[in-house]
Amino acid sequence: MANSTTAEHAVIRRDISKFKWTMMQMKQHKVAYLMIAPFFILFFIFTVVPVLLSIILSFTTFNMLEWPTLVYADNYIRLFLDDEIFLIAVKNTLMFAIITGPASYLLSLFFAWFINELRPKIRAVVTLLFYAPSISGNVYLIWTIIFSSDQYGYANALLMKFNIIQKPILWFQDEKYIFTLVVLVALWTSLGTSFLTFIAGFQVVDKSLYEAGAVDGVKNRWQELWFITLPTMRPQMMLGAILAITQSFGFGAVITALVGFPSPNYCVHTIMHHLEDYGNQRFEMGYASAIATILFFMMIGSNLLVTKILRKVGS
Amino acid sequence: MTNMKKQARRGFCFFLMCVMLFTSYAFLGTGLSASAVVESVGGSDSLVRTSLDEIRSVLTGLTYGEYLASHENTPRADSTIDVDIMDILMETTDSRGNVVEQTTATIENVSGSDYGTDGNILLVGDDGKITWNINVDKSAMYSVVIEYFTGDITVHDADGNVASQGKSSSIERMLLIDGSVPFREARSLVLYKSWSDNYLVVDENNKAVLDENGNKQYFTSASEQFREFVKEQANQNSDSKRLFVTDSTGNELRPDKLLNDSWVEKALVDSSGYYDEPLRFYLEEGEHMLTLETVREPIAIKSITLCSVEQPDSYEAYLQKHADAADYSGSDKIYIQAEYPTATSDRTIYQLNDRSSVITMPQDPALIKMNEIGGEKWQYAGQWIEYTVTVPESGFYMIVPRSKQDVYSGMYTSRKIYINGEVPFAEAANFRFDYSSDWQTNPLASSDGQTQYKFYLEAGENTIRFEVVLGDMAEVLREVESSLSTINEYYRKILMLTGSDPDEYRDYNFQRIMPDVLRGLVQQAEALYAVSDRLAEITGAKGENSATLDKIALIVDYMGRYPDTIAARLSSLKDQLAALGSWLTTTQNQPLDLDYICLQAPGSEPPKAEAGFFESVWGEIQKFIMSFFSDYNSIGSATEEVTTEELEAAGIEVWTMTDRDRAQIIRSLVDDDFAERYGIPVSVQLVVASTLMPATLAGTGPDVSMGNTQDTAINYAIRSAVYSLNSTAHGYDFNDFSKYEDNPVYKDILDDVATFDEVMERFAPAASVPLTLYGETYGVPENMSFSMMFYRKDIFVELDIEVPNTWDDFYAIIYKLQSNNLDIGFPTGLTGSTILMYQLGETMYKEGNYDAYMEQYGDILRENGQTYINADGEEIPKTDGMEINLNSNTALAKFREVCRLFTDYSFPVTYTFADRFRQGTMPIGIIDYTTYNQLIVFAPEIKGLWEFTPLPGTLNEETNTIDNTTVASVTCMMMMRSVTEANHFSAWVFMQWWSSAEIQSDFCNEMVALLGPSGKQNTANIEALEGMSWSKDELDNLKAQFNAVTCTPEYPGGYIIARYANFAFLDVYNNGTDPVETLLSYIDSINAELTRKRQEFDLPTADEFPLDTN
Repeated sequence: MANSTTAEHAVIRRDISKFKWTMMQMKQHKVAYLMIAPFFILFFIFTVVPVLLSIILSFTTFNMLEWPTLVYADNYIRLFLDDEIFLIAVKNTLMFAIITGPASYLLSLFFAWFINELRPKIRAVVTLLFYAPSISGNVYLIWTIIFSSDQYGYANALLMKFNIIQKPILWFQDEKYIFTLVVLVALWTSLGTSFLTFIAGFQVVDKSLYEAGAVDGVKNRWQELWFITLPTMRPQMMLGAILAITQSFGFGAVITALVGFPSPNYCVHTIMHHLEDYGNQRFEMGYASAIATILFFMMIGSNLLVTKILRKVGS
Repeated sequence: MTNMKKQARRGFCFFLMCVMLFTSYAFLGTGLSASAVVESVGGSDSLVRTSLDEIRSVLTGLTYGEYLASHENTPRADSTIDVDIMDILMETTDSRGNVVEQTTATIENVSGSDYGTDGNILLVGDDGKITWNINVDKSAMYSVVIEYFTGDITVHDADGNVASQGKSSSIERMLLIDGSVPFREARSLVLYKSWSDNYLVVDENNKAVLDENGNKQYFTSASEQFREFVKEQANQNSDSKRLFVTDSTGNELRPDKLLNDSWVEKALVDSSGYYDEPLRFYLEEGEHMLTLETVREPIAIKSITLCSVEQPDSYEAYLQKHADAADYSGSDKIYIQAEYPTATSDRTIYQLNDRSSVITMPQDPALIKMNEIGGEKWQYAGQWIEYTVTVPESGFYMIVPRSKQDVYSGMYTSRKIYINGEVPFAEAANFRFDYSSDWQTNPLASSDGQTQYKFYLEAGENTIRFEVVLGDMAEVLREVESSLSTINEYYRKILMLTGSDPDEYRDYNFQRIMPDVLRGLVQQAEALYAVSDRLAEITGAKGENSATLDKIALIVDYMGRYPDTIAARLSSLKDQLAALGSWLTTTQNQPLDLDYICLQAPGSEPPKAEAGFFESVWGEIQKFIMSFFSDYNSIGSATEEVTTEELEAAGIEVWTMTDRDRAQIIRSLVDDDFAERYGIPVSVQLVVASTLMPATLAGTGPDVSMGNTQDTAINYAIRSAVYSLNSTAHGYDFNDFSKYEDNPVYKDILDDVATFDEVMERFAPAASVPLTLYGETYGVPENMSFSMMFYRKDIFVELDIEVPNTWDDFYAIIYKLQSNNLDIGFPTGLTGSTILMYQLGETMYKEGNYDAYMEQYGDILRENGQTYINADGEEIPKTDGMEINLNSNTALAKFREVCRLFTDYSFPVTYTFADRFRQGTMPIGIIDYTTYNQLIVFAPEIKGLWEFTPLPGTLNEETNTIDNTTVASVTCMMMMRSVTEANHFSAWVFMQWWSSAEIQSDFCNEMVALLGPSGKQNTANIEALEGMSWSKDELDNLKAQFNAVTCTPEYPGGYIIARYANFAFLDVYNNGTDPVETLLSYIDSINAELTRKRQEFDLPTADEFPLDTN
């Protein structure tokens, strides 16, 4: 019935303006809009508005306690031309994202694939083992105990026992080791949600596809993975990739917990840290907003890139 | 033949080595003793540095057990010696003809009538020792019984000035016979005071009943009124009437405590509770000196008697003694609610709220009822709680406490019972309370549970006292402690030979160098195994507790038997020693909760211990429902409603960022004192620190913010979020109250409000430095923390090194400590070098030179408004803090010196001070003085073996003075911009009130009362510091350092300094770069940041105003 009524009052898209068309469509689907409204209002107020505000603030100088003043593009000019530490931060962030992002992504994928081969009961146990580090919150702090700077810390004590070193190494305070250690910890904790998604993804692959593939001449497991499994679970891979990217960009808190803030000689200073430095320590919110805006666009950019790459899977 | 030769050569080598070692010792000894005695500046002439000789006289390795064993054949005293306490020995002459002072304490001889007794009594101050001559007729073992006053005392010196005043801790003394401490336990002898609760008289509406003068009335738990009340309550177990005052929401508040004025006779006992009987001292026939040396608190003494103390009879004898008495025949049970004690030994034993059981009396599903007592507040040996009970008839009663010990699983805690001041029979010295997660109502019975004891009580009032004892565990614990300290000593000896990371593949030749240590280790292992078996026997099962002992016994045993493995096992021994240490600390604790004590006829059924299933479920459901209605977060207030509009406008909001305990105390001080004194409504809110910024931004912030870090004040101030307290720009002047003389709210209280200048007098002059920017002060200091030097007396004596007074001395002992593989704790990088810089008068920023600036740029600066008028009316340019001073020669030299300590001298950069200090591997450290709190509870086994003193100083050769300045940081209170015209003065009234000595010391004492000795606060108020329960020596040292304290100023951009200085230090330490060059390379970055920040706030910068150096 509904269809026929629509047909009677049918309006052709070309006859009216785009705005009118949208309004009409909205009226038609008002129940759907009503249902999405609670989420959307909250999302808009607490996510969209702040992002927009932050972009506006990035053209001002604002110390949080006094009214902001407009300075146009000064913040951006200073950011790119007069802030060496920002460049260090960009470099570190990109290096960090490039190493941990794909590495943790591939690690999650391969571990998920291996685990998927196990018998269900063992699989449940092993899944828990791998997933445990990321559910137990700040468990990465265990690394500060292992690599404690104290001469009685595990790593130091062991190395001193074997006479490899003579005096304790300040693991998380020495530029030579920090980056490696931080990447290590990042990888260790990264088997999180994306790993679970992959495991779920592997289970939904239709078994009959493998049979079909075998008939069509798939020769080995690698081909099976590349041509059947991965294309089938593209949505999960997409989710995993976005999670990995946001995680690798937002790893600042973990670094601060391990290394302290700021890191010695800014050796693992990321954009997140730079943001925190200017926002919380120096009360320069305008400048911090400029940094945040750039980080925002970097993340969007890398998301687009990853989406593009993922389209190529299986082809 | 060849063998002979070899042995001869070996012997010769050994001889040579000994000679070399010996000469180096002798040489070092003379070198040290030659160091000049110099006076120090900053009032530190009152410096208390115990000399090695003094330390030696009190150090003794002998335990009481060993002491007793060595006097096994000496009989107990059968006569009594009364010491004539008025016959004080002032001084003696030693063999070399030098006069030795034997009495140094302030002594006041007063009539006992002022203290409620007859005859004359002696008040002894807490500032030294007192010695008596005693004459012993017969060699024997004597116990020392002292009759002392449990109330508050004040000791005056000859001129009538107050020399020392009683504080809230227990009296503690050290006993010396003929100038030395006979055994270890005599170093700490505790005499408890007696505290009673002070209840407010209130009417049915919970309003205080005032007397004719309008004062609140109180009655104590020692009063007749209180005993009547308890008697009335005895026969019912409901809660018709309560004594506790409630807050506005109906939660019960615990009463204050007051000291009881009474005289008690007490035999000196071991304060750790390892020995149940009074201590016995061996005295040979003839003349002796008996010395009591102060550890804590003054004391009033009436008599001292040397005698032997009778031990109570056995239970059979007790029954026979009262053979003609009958059992109590009534069927009514007599209840004493445990929350109504007559007296307690400590201020910290107070009423608590139990919600774990629905039948804990009384119980409310929503409100806090003070329904139990004890727990962790009542767990140290010697602490007691006393109750008064009125029984209807003379006869035998059974005592049934409703109790719970749910802390130490697999263990039990013990209590000793006194009836009317005496232990009725031997078995009552040790009742066991086993672990249980539920409440228990077991009648007091023998430890196997077979015999339920009955107690004879006369009709009328009787007192029952429960005292914490270690019971059967005492023996185990003392064995373990003696093993622990012996093994610790062995560990240190081994460590001195091998270092902390020994080479497993090297032959250290332990068999030849320290055969006694190896033998000792095996012996200790055997001893520990024996103790572990005994422990299993006592607790009835081999559990985790005996496993702790077994583990360390195994390691020690192997180390003793197979010396080759010592090197490999050393680190695990260290871990096990730490584990054993904490096991010992926790096992000594004997917590027990009491809900009530029930007296009933012997053999009758005890009350129900726990609620039935349905009762519990119903109770929990009620609590669950009520949880929707009661606000657990608000800190309830007892303040009356605001009456006038003006008063409402004058009300202020105060935010504190500390913890709930602190906030609660602030709240109660505001209610009890502030409201009464000033009548201004104050609402105290507990918030997390990060809310202050957004709230201020949104305009919903507080009027006064407490507990801010020192950089917050200036950071907020330059962004005009905090108001200056000494400016007149905002329409107030806190130095001139004439404006408020007509104000209806303030006119009556003005006399009681201190001005800004008066308030600042309360602190060390340096305390306001970080809160002041260009003449404007933005905060009132609250706490102040700074580093002091902690050292282990025993190890210093063992190594024969003096405590360093200057940095030269300090360098001299580094060698001696490090050659024994001991570490030194020192603040790293800039933190360390700042101290050295300030001792030489070098500042952190470039400051001063005002005349030159004014001469060169006066007009421009004035035009820009970049000058200010200081308190003396001079015009000062705002040029301080434009540049960092770290590139001065002194600053660079001192930075290099500190870096070298870590690179060349290999001082550890990261360490857990308390752990290492306790083990003795780091016998000296420069660290924040609040570490005291940690050590006092964490390391009881080294009690009395350590001390903290002012820092070593820099010697000024011209004036021959030592400058031992330390660098402090403060926390502060700020007046936020949210204050209005109507309430800014209220904010000031609050701030000056909170920082006053009276309130600060109340607050500190409340914290100590709540948290115990580890709750000491680092208040910035000097007078309040004196009111806290520091011992005399500790306080002297603290004050000495307080007089030599400085703070670094805060300027815009200051955060960058610590950051870059840390980068520089890490670069030096990690990569071995040159300290001077490295630090210099950061100077430009630091100055650039300072300049940038100054531009932001329109302050003069170094770029704009370079000073011609010629």
